[in-house]
Amino acid sequence: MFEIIKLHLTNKQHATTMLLLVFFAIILLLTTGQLVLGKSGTIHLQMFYLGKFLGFLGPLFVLSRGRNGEGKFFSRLPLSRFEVFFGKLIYLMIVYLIITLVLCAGIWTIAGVLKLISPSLQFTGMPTFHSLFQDAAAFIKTMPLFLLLAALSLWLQKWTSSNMANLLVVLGVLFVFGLLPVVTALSLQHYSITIPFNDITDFLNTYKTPLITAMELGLFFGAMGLYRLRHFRNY
Amino acid sequence: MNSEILLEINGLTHAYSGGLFRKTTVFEDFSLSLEGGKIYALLGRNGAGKTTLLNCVLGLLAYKPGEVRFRGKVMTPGNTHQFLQKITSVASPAEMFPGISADSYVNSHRKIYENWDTELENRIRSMSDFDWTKPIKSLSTGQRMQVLQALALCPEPELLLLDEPLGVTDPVVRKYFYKNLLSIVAERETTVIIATHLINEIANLFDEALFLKQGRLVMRKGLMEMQSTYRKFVFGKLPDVKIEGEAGRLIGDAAIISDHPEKTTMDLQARGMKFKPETPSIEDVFEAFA
Amino acid sequence: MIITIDEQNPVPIFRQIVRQVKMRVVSGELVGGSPVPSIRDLAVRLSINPNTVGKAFRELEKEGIIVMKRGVGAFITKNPPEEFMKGFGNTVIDGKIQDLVQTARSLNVPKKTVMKKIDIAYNGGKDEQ
Repeated sequence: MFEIIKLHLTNKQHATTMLLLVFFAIILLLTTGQLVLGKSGTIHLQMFYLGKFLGFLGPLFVLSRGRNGEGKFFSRLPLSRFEVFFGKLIYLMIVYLIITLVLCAGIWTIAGVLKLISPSLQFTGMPTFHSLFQDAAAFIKTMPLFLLLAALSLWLQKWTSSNMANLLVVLGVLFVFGLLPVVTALSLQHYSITIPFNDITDFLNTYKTPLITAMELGLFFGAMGLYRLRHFRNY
Repeated sequence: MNSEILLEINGLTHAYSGGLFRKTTVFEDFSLSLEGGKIYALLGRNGAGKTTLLNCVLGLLAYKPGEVRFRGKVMTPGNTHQFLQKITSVASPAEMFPGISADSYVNSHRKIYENWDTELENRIRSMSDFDWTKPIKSLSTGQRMQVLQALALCPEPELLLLDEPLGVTDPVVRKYFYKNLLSIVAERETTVIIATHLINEIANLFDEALFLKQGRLVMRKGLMEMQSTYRKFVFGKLPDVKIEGEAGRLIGDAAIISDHPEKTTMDLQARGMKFKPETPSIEDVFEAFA
Repeated sequence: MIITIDEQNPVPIFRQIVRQVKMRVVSGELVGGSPVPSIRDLAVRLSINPNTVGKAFRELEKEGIIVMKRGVGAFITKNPPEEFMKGFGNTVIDGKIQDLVQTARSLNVPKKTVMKKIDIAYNGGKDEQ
């Protein structure tokens, strides 16, 4: 398991560094822009909250063999499926931690340096331990659902092609989301069949979050189409 | 002589899906048993099922129904990884992590496998002409193949599955790959299944050739047995009718392969045809049967 | 000991090995007690299946030309069978003569010419008459 984490980390060393550099460039650019154009003496230092993003793309990485077939490579090794799975999962967490912490440290350093030069500057949007904790929680909370969906697709691939399995999972999710409001509506309106217009608006308001989730799902399956989950020791 | 059964495939059926209702069957009720300490050549035209068969044994592909036994023990999804300590394969270079050096690959494999032949590793390294500390992406495909060969040969496998293990490597690399392979086979009685299209290259290497055709085992013979069973009859012009004992035609060579040389000779003499009998090469037999 | 194989030759490789070892024993190049290369060395050097070499060695052992000692290797026997030492040369020559006669016949070279050429060859290329 340790070897898997190590291999992944060394492999993505370069990419991770590049990603961090890009984020830093954006932060510095935005900060400089605000300093040059700024009137109020308040600098908004935007933190990148990656928890949710990595939380839903990570499972793809954990379960897929990836563009280069890494999953297949590992499947040839005498490692149990659980070792490979947890190895990748832990790698994902480590990467999330590294990126988030390095970015925070960078932002704090930038803020500190600016404060030294010009003590009158005010900062907003700074990452705090509280916001970091929330982001980490979002990361942890987002992952299981998407892990489950990816696993479901992988399992379905025993019987059908990978594209068909993905499609089936999407349809399944759509079905559940489509049925939920109907069931709820029916149970709410148990005694009157007519649904007034106002109720529908209320209803859609209630389900705003699921709609956003559905969009996220769309994105996830789009990405899943690009990756192929096949060949991860195909049982 | 080690002649116990090492690998047993019973009633293997594998089909891949092209859609929800479309299934293409590659193998149906396929059985095969292989002895330890031998080199097997897995031969067949493109799409005959060579790669599929090897991937089923490795657990990379699912099969249902069917059973694969290694040293008598059934391989299941849950325990496949234990068998993989002793069954190694040469991966495709495309499967490698581009950012990792050949050295890190070798080091991590050395830790993952229980056994590691350091002497062989050094021999392979000394034969290579590239820097093993460089990342995989800076190596050529042939150089990557050499790294993969080391990764497959060094863990002291009992069964080695080679699917076109030499890819596009140059003649020197090929020569030493075979020599390394032979030395571990002679030393440890490793069983090897080698699937390749370069039949002539391995004609002197294998004990038995397994001919696959559309998912079925159509022939299983050693080279000597093949050459004593079959005979090639070369003509100035191919006869229009089927000759007695004719088992296959080599249209390009204007020749037939016969499995009853005496009958064929008599038939040809009766027809008054001119011919020249020859010992068939493995390629001739391949063309006639696979 | 140098053993080579001819891949173009339809004679099975294990027979080629057997024959070469025998030739060297009869010619005296290999005397009783001299070591024979190991199966592994020979297989790797000739790039052939170790079982093929093993088969050749077993054949040689059966005929009493080599002895295999476990863990030590194979050696030429001290006293190879008499009939082999005497008969092997004839067997080889018989085969060669068959070939020669067949070729001479198909090319219409008369028997007299062939015999004369053999005499010349024996005399180191000089015509005695």
